Amino acid sequence: MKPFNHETFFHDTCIFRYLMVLLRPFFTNVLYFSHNRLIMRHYEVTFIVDPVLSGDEVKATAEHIQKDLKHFGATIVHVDETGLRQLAYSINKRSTGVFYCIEFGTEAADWLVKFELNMKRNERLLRYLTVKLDKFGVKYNDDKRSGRIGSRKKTEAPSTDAPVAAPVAAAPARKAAIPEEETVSAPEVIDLDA
Amino acid sequence: MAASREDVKFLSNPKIGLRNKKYCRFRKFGIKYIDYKDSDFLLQFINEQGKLLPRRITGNSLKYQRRVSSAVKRARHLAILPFVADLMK
Repeated sequence: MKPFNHETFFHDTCIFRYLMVLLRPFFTNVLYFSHNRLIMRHYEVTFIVDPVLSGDEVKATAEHIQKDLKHFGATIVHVDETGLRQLAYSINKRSTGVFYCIEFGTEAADWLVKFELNMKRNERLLRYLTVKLDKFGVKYNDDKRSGRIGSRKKTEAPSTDAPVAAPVAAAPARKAAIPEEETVSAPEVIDLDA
Repeated sequence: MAASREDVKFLSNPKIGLRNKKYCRFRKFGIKYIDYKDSDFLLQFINEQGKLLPRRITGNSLKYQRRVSSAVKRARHLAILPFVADLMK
């Protein structure tokens, strides 16, 4: 390693700065271009609609949200209507709620703040949650919809390794790409508070 | 008379003290995303009071324990899982 020499260091950095000043216009173009290239970002919004509303009103609320999204310029990937579900604790004195989950993609995402504000103002929604989906999340949702990920079975039936497109019913373990050895007889969960 | 292995009877279980090697199930099975809407899956990581289980019990690596933790917290926000409970399992 060269010993630190004040003169050469100054000289080197000067050259570097000089080059950067010269080439900055080109670099900014590159940066601008990559910023402008419009990456599609995926989000997922889950919201709970008040269950005391009539079925039509519930549907209307969900439609309104979707229209809002489209108005902002999002491409809706999927709308999942989980339906009436028991809540784990009461919200606004209600013990059930109608769950909706909308997955959408968008390029410019600054309108999300406004969208969330609209949801906050909407009196028919009990709760909402907007989540950004990374690539694994997108893939997971995709697999879930096409059935490659099975739901958990209560009994642990021994199964062979499940290839990606295998029938879902046999697989007790959830995810695709499962190795030969079977489930996780998970390290025993000791209840510390029991 | 030579005693074979089957003949020998132990007073205590010879397997005592042997420990199953703990592993992170996410790393092992290549699970990258933890869905916060899936309460059945997340029940594995909370105790019967609804509290998150520590990493040394579940065997998760730090990266995935954090993801599990944030998934559970999101589920709690959406009332999919409770904040406080008893006899959850």
